[in-house]
Amino acid sequence: MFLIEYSQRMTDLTQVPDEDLLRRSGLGDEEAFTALYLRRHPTIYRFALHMSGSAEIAEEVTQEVFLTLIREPGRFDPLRGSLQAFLFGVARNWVLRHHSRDRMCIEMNEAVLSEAQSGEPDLLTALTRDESLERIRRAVLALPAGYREVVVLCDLEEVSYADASEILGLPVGTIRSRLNRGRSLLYGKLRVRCSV
Amino acid sequence: MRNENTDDALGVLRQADASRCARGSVEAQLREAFRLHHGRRVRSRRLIFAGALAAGIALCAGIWRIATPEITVLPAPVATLQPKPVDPALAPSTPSITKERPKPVRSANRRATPAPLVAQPVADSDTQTFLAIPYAPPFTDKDRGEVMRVRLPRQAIRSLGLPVNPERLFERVPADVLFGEDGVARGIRLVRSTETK
Repeated sequence: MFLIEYSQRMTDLTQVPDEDLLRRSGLGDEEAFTALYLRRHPTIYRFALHMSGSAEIAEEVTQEVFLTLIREPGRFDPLRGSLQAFLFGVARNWVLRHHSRDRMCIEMNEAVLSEAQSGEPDLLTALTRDESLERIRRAVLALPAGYREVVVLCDLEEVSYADASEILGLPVGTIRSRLNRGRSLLYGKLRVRCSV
Repeated sequence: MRNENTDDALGVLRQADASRCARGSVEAQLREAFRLHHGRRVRSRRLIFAGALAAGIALCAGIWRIATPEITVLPAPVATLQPKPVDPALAPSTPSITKERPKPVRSANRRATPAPLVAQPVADSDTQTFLAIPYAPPFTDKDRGEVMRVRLPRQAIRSLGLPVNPERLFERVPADVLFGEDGVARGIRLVRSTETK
């Protein structure tokens, strides 16, 4: 009976907007906080995972993001954007801290990109399933941080340009141009891997 | 073509990782942190509330104590007052009261107000108890009090509730009248006297 009531209550909370869940969480409603965590943490985790390449770092970042919600719920300003964008912004800061600490970024060689601009074979057909995923992940990780985060946000997490602009603090035009550049770099990296 | 290939590759990665999320231990740790954080906040709010309540009670008690004057409840001076004795040696030459007509005594009950005709200094009296005059203000320990011996008609004594022979209503008897600081009579004490009118 308790489980049924619990699941019903959790189901009810799925209809509640993020801002209301956050407000109730700030007043001490643990179930509201849990509902908010279950709803939003997967995208935060995946963002941190694709940015860092480490599940351990991704979990640390996820934990720090939601600890911020517990301790400082007032930091979120609904007038400045959505809660999701706020969470991505906090996660980004934590990822950059880990990045500067661990030096995981691998700079892409511009020469490799120029070589890949001519003669384009079909990449997917040249890769096996298990190898393809690993190579794509590595290619994403190999992107410079500025391009990587745009690709991860907009292409992998399907964040809108407007939200990405809010998260990264960049104009929408810059988001678009970095996304195009990042995709080109990614293609070049994948093309190079396929050629090897 | 290049963009399509890149989009396809990213699409594959997106689908493959769509179900990835943090382990359950992260959720458990966050819920524990949530309980700790709000438990601490509730405790501190309770402490602050308790402190404010105690301070408020202490403040109210202090204000009440300051605002409330000290009230001393005195028993009704019925038949228990002891007048100050006057030295009889001084009586003839220095009477404690003048022979002039005394001040009119105000009382809520005019019938109870005696009509002093002759004022004499008070000597030892045969009776020790004063009868409280009805509706007169209470005699407080701040009142020094003064006793005057007068001669009252028996009719006036009857108004105090004492039995009086109707045939002797207009006879005068000696009595001690106790006056307060304000000149209002508080009590009367009958004096056994051998004098008769």
